[in-house]
Formats: sequence, C-alpha cells, structure tokens
Amino acid sequence: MIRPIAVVLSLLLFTGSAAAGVTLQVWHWWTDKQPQFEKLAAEYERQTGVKVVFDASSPNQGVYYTKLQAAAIANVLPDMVGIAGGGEFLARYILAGKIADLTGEMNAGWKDRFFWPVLRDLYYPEGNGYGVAPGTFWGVPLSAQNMQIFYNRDLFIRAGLNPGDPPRTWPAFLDACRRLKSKGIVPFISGFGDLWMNEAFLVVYAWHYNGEEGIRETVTGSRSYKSDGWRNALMRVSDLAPFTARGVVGTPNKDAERAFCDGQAAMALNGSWAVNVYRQMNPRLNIGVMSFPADPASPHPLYLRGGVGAALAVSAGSAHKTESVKFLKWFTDRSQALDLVREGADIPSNREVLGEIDDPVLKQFAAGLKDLMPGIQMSDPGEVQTEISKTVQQILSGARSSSDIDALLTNIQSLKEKLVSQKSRAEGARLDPARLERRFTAGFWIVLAVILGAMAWKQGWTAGRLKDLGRDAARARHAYAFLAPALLIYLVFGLYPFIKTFLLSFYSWDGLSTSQTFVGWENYVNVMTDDPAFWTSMGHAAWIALAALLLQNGFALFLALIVDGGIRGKNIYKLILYIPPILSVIVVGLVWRWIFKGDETGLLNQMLSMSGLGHLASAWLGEPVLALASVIFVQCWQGFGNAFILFLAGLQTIPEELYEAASIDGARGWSRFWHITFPMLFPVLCIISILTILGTMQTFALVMAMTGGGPAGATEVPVTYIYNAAFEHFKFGYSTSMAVVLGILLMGLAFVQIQISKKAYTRQ
Amino acid sequence: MQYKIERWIRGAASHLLLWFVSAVCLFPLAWMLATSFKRLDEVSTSVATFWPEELRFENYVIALQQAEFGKYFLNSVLYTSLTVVGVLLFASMASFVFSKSVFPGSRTFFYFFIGSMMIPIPGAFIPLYVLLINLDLVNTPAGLILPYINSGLAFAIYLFKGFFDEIPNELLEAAELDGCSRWKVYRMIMMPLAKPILATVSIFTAMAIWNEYLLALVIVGGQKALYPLQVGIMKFQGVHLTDYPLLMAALVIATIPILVIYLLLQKFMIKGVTAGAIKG
Repeated sequence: MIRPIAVVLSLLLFTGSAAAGVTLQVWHWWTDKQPQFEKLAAEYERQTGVKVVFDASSPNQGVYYTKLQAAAIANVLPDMVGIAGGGEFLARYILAGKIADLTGEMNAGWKDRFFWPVLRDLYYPEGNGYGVAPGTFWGVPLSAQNMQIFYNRDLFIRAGLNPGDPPRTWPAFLDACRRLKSKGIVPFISGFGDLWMNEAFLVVYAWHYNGEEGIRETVTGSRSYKSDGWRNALMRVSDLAPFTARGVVGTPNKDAERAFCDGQAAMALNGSWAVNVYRQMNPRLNIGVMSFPADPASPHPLYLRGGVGAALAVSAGSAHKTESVKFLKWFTDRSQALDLVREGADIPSNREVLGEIDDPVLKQFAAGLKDLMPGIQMSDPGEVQTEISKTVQQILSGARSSSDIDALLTNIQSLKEKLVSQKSRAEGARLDPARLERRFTAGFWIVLAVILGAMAWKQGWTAGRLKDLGRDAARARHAYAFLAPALLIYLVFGLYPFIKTFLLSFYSWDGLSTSQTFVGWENYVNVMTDDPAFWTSMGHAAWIALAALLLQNGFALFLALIVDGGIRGKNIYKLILYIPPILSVIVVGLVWRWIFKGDETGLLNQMLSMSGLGHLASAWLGEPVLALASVIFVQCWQGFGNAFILFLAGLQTIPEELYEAASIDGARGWSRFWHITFPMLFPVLCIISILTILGTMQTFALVMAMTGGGPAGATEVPVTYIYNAAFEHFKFGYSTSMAVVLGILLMGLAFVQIQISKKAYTRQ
Repeated sequence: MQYKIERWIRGAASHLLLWFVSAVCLFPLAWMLATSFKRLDEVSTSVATFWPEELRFENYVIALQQAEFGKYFLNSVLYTSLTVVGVLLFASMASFVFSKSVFPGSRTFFYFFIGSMMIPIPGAFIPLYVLLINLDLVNTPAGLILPYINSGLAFAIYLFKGFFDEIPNELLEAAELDGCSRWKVYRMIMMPLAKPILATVSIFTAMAIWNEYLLALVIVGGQKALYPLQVGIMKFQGVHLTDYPLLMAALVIATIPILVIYLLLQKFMIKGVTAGAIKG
C-alpha cells in the first residue's frame, strides 16, 4: 500500500540528476571551502572527464556527523567523506567497516608528500587504543592546523607592551594580562562557550605538566587525574579566569572571533583557520601570533595542539574506490594544494607547499607544526573529555575556584572509573547474550499475553462477546476504511520505528557497527542508578516546564483576559502575539543570542547601561543560572503565543449570560474571575498544561540553537543529552533507553493531568 | 466620574502593556529585516545600531542569485503543501469516524494516536532512516513527506475530533436518511463545516514543516536537488565566517511564505482552536 503511493509520489516529484560517466560524491561541512572545491572539481572534470560533486549541507559539524552516521548505518555513504581527524571517531567507522584502507597506496609513495605530524593523525600505529589494525592509513589530509594565541598589536602598544616580543613564560603572560587590565583592556577572549575550546586550552598544559608518558598513563589508567600534573594544568585555568572577557564561557567561538576583530580583547586562543576569518572581518586588524606561554618550572616541553585540519576518507562501500583514490592523489598534488592554500589562507598538508607560504602570520602557524603533540592515538571516553571541558568552564566562569580543583579532579577520576567499570561489567557479566535474549523474549511474550488476557477477562470477553465484536466490526467496515490511511502511515512511520527504538534499548550498540549485544535491563539500570547527568538535565527541563506553566501561562491568561475584555485593536494584538511561534528556531536562536550577548555589544546590556542600570549588565548566557533563566525566558517567549490563543478561545466560549447573572449578584473584578471565569476555563487550563509540559520537557532545537546545553552543562535538557549520547558518544542503545524513560515519564504526567482534570470536572 | 477615570487609566495601562509585549514579539522579525539591509562591517562593530545606513537590497539579490535558491524554495513549498494536504485529509477522515461512528477499538485507536505525542524524536531517528532505506524512499520526496505527515497526525486528529464532536449528530442522521453514503456525508457536510479547524490545522502543520530541517537533512541530505529551504539556508552560515546580513536576507525570504499563510488563515484560528481543542 505504501509502495505504490510512494512510487507515484516519487514519479511526480523526483527530479533525478543521473549523469553519464563516473560521478564521485563528496560530503563535507566546510561551507567556506565549497567554492574552491567546486573550482578544482571543474578543473578535474575538464582534465579527466570524471565529475566530482562536493556537497556541504551544514556548517555544523555535529549535524553533519549525524547525517554521516545515518548514511553509514544504511551503507549509503558517498564515495568520499570529510572528516576532522582520526582518533576515536574515525576508529569507530573503521571498525564498523565503513572506511576504505589506504595503507597500500600511502606506503607506495603517496605518504611522502605529506607533512608527517599532519598525516600521523590519520595513521593508527602499533598499540593504538582503539583496536584498529596496527600500521594502517585511513584518510588523506587536505590541510593542517594548530592552535596558538593571537594578539592585537595595537592594544599591546596601548598597554605599553612590546608587540614584537610577546610574553613567553606564564608569569610574564600574567604580568601582561595585568597591565592590559589596568589600562581597561580585556586581556583574553576565546570561544569557551564551545566545549572543545576548553579542552583545547587545558590539553596544552596537561601535556606540558604530564609529559607524553604521563598522558599515556592517564589514558591507560595507571595515573589518576588526582595528580600534580593535572592539578597544575587546572591551576593555569584558574590563573587565566580573572583575565577573560565577561561571560566568556557563554561565548561561542564565532562570537569571540567577532569581538577580537572588533578590538574588544587583546588576546585570543584560536586556530590557524582564524587568520582568514579575522582578515575578512576586519582587514585593518593588526594581528600577531604567539605560542602558549610555558612554565619554566615544568620539566616537559610545551607542545601545541593541532594536526590535520580538513581531511577526506574514502568510503568502503564506494563503487568507485580506484577513481576516488586517483582523484585524491590529484587533489593533494602540489599545484592543487597550493591553490587551496592561496585562496583559503590555510596551512597545507603538502610538505612541498609548506615552504611557499609568504604571509607572516600563517608562517608562524606553519612553524608551529614542528611543535605538535606527539600523536598517541588513544584517548579517554568522550564523556570524560566532556566532563573535563565542563570543569574548565566552571573554573573560567568563576563558579568554582582554585580551591575546588581537587574536588573537580576527583569528579573526573570517579566518572572515568565508573565508565571503565560499566564497560567491564558489560563485557564480563554477560556470559551468553543469545541465551539471555531468548529468555527475555519469552518473558516479554508471556507478560504481554497475561496482560491482554487479564484485560479481556475484565472486559468479559467470552467467545460470544467476541463474536458480537466481530459482527460490530463487520457492520462498521466503513469506519476502518476511513481510519486506514492515517493508521497505515502511523504504523509504518511512527509506531514501527518506535518499537525498533524500544527494542534497541535492551542492546549495547555504538550506532555504527553490525554487532548489537543484548544486555537485558542493564541500560535501564544504568539510567536509573548511575547517570546523575541525565537526571540533572531532567531537572533543567522540569524548571523550564514549571516556569512555562506558571509564568508563561499565567501571563498569557492575564493578557487574554485584557484582550477579551473588548479592547480597541484587539485583532491586531491577537495577530502580533502569535508571531513568535511561527518563527524558525534558526531565527529565534540567532536573534536572542545577540540580545543576550555577555559583553557590552549585547543588546540587553547596551539597553541596561543606557538606562543607567549598567551594573546589572551580565553574561546572560555565560553564567550557569542566568543561562538557564535566559533559555527559560526564550522558551516562554516562543510558547506564550500558543497559550494566549488557547486561553482567548476558551474565554470566548464562556456564555455572556453567566457574567450578566453574576453582575446582578454584585460579583465584579476578582470575585467574578474567581467564581466564573476560572472554573469555566479549567478544562482549557488542563489542555494548555498538558501541551506545555509535552512541549517543554521535549525542548531540543531551541536549546541547541541558543546554548548547545552549556555553559558547563547548565542548560542541558534530556533530549540534547540523549542526542549527544547517541551521536557524539556512540552509545546508541543506551540513549534509546533514556528516550524510553523520558517517554514513560511524560505519559505518566499526562495521565495524572487528565485524571486531575476529570476529577475537577466531575466535582463541578 | 471617578469610575470613568479609573476605566481610562486601566485602558491606557492595558494598551501600554500590550504595546510593550507586541514590541518584544515583533523585535526579532524587525531586527532580521533591518540586518538584511546592512553591510557585513556594519554588524561587526561594537555599538550595534538598529537602522541600516541605507536600504541595500543587494543581499537579497545575492541570496536569490544562488543558483539553487529558487529550487529549494519550491521544494519547501511542495513538502509543506503536500504534508498539509495529507494531514488534513487523513486526520479528518480518521477523526470523522472517531467522532461519529461506533466501532470496536475506537477508543483504543484514538489513544494509540494521541500517545505518539509523548515519544521523543531523536531515539526513533535511526530506525526510521533504516526503514526508509529498506522501502527505497531515502533521497525521495515521499521519504520525507510520509514521516512528516505522520508527525502531524496525532495533534491534528485530536483537534479534528474535538471539532467534530461539536457538530450535532442529527445533521448527519438527516443526511443519511436522505440516502447519503458515509463518504458523501464526510465530504458534503463535515468538510464544509470544518473550515475553521482546517485552517487551524493547516497553520500548525505548515509552521512545523516549513521550519523543520534536521529530518530533512538526514533523509534527503544525499540529493542536493531535493533540499528544502531550511537546509539550503545552512550554506549561508559559514563554518568560520558568517555573512550575517546575507544570512538574514535569506531568512527573511524563508520567513515570508509562512507569515503570509498565517496572515491569511489566522482569522479562522480562534474559531478552530475553540471548537477543536477546548470544547472537545
């Protein structure tokens, strides 16, 4: 039934673009590079007749990876995919058999053209921590990057610092910060609102104080996070904290880049890619680049964080692997590499081209490639890295101070131990998943049969009754015909995926590999007993729901009463108040982020200082409590229109005679509202409450657009948490169990609501 | 006299409050519009000004000149309109029998639909995608529209049923006595009466579908020619550098249609919501 409809629809709509000859598909997310890619692709087609289609669908790496993962599971990856480097991410795809092995080609001379510290990121050596075959290559680097500290030469001069000799040691750096601050210049800004930026800063000092051996020991577990190396690294964060721009942990890197370009801060930690960004935003900006200031007391060298920038991997399922490799060889050739660098102001991965950079700032970055951290190809679970980043945010925001560092490190260490023990429990305790699964399935059917039996018994379904039912059903055939289309679509596209999801919640699955291991209730046990972060996110959603129920709906009711009272321009108000719900989340997120910006360019802060309330100016999205409050505000702002319309509709159903009768009895104002309006509105109130709870507890896109769950997880809500578990931490099975728990909770809440409203209704 | 003054003050205060709320509601729209006329360096300065230096339409020209922009626009129109039609048709048919027919399983099926509003989406994402692959529907419009219709059904059925419950049964019985078939009753009597609720459901559905992008990105993400506007607009956001005025111009273009739909249909909305959600 579905198929014919689908086929007809497809025939009607599908505008295929089948091309003759070989066409290679490439997915990536570097929207900035798309024009150059297209230019080079056209050149390649002219030379060889092979068409290469580059497709950048989203500039958001997370969203892009979601798309990639879905395509990987379904084995419909394009010929080549853009990746950000090796590590765990690529390893997952390799182990799931999604990526083609390039070892042979690389060893046959291809690798020689690349700068080794860059190519190294796509290489898995003997003893790598991910279980990838030792000594193998899996990707082709297009560009290189590393992160250093940009500084504004003009601001340095203004503070009496020598822009030709930026601070090289940590004490000197702090001195410089103090001088800048005393001149009223914000010393440091960076996109610490993005989690990875926090990790990027800390990791440099973690290596500086632990050394390569120490980092290896930490990952393998023989060194605890509660050790001097890590304590020292976090101390540097707390040293830096007082010199960062206000609300820096609520500032995504894009905003930080704009602020730096605008001369609002003297220094910014950023990657080599930013050279181009700064130049385009403000061509007059006088920038310098310095390495991280080192601590002379540390016995270890100071490494820079960096390596591969953009890279492409060939998909294992591609029908044109040879052509893809051929294209990539051409693409990374000297002249093409040069082209990419010239136009994109990028550091090339090609060694020969590296020497041809003439831009002094880029040169400094190219030189930095020599000091990169050694690639160790092992890492702690993503959750631990996320926790570390959040810890840095907490210290930077001032929510935690240097005296809390030991407690914070204990947190990180215990999270790691918990994850390790969960993993070993999962691997050790499950003796025979297959048997467990059979037992579970049998149990499931038995329970279902018992429930259905009990229901049938309670309804008095004897054979005769069933016959009656059958007769009724036959007589009401038309009803089923009317129901059929909706039911069919719901069964296929709604219920079936849901049941699949529900079943997945009993498995351990990374969301990519072909093996799904049955684990019984384990995921649920972990959700209920061992995942405080999930329940914290529930708490945040509960606050949002509560605020929406009381403030948003209360205010909506208040305005509905005013408008219903017959005010002039009623229709115009009605029209305008419903505008927010129809706006897309992209618009809402962009505009409100700008309003709530933490520095003096934020609109709200500007308005406060203009009205003499400058002392109230805050980093609205940069401080945990304020960020949650801001999210709540915008959620209510957008949801308010719905409640308003529903209340207004409800008010109009109250018969005028009731009010007339009441006014004869002398009821006015408050007592009129309390004795007539409110009881009459009660059913509406219940509906609005249910819809509000369902909407707010499942809020997702708005939080993603405004804060991404930050700072330090302060605005994490269940659905963002579930999304990240599934698509970032490769815990697909586990994430579905959280979705089920949330779903059950919502059903429970809705049920309670309905019961309350029924009770109240019958009492009336 | 005193009563009059009190009333006047109350009226003025009400208007003041409503003006303020209206301004807050309209602000993002206004800001988007204002920004779309600016130059990039105008938005990068520290003191943000609301008014652009001059009315510059070049951002719109650039946005519209992007080769695929028109195509994305048409795709969005297509997805939204077909989804709306599908939801209106299927939900009204189902609600018609939920409301006006007695048949075994009626209540069960109804709650079955309503329950689906409580399922958080991200979990069901991958299974849905795998299913679409098996049905050969990935990278086809149908593969997007059918799940879209599903996503709108539950709430629409809830609204329609509430509305139909208000229509007196006698009307239908009379028609049936005249020999009308069930289908004819649905088509000739129910549908013409259902205008307000049809408008309401149209607004709700169109709003959700027009602004959706995550599902679209995954399901038709492999076929550029099928991108809806919201996915197409992504490319106006750079990884590192975003041309905000250009992005805003694109967003204005993307917002106009849904705004127009809303303005055209909103006068039915109160009526539809009243009967659909409140009395039902």
